[in-house]
Amino acid sequence: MMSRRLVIPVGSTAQTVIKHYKTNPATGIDALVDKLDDTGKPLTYETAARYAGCEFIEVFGSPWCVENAIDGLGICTEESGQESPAQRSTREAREATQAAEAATRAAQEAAVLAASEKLDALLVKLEQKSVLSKAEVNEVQATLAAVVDVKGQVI
Amino acid sequence: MATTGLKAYDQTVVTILSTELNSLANGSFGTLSGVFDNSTLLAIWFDVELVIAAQGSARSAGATVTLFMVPSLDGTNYTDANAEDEIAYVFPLDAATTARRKVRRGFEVPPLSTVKWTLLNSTGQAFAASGNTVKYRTRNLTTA
Repeated sequence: MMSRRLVIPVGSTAQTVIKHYKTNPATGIDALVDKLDDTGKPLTYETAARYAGCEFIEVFGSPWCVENAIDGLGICTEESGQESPAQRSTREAREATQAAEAATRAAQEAAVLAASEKLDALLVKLEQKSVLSKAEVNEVQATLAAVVDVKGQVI
Repeated sequence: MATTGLKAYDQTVVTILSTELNSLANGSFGTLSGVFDNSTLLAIWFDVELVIAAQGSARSAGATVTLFMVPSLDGTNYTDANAEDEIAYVFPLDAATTARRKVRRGFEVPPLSTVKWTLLNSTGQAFAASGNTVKYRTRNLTTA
């Protein structure tokens, strides 16, 4: 069953007060101060875990962290490596772009092949009307095949 | 005749998240920020600057950092601070270790005294042990 745990720095305990940089409105300078809970008292990791709906607190590097490949601090679950909604939309957008590019490439390749088949048909007619010899037709077809091959690689 | 337009920023930049982001694991939320009180200021928009310090290993392709708003509508009970919360901004990042600074603007904030913020690290790597911040400035309209 998935659990939600607050992973805290090595050397901290549930009673350690969390500190943060707070900007002094008068000077605009950040200073490291105690973070406060909703009652105005210094905020401990235990209280922060409760606010965040975490059932447990883990010190970084604990057996649970190692087992679940936790690589840092924060609110973690056994499925911390799962895709977030933001990552999913980024991935879907990337996949849509790649699919559109692939479709464009396929359409271009089909157009090149269609054009080469038309030329083939014209060459046959020219041979039948004795405008070109069989050898000349073969040479043109070989040249056309080489051009199509190069164009296919470029596309 | 009165005209309404943008009001210039009337406050300095304020840090809302800093040490909460130290060594933040990939796939994890940081601890919640302090309270952002908008009940007096009544700002409309919450513009944000994210600074990510250089990370130890390269971020994944499609790396993002997401800032979530965690409000308390009744003044006591905050929403759960998870991926179903309201997204304020998504910051796409490149697949490198390089420190990055990103600014986003225009997120509308409610006129509450009880709003907190949290950041989700989806970069594929833990954040650096220090130097990561989220700062904000709020702005409004004015009628003259």
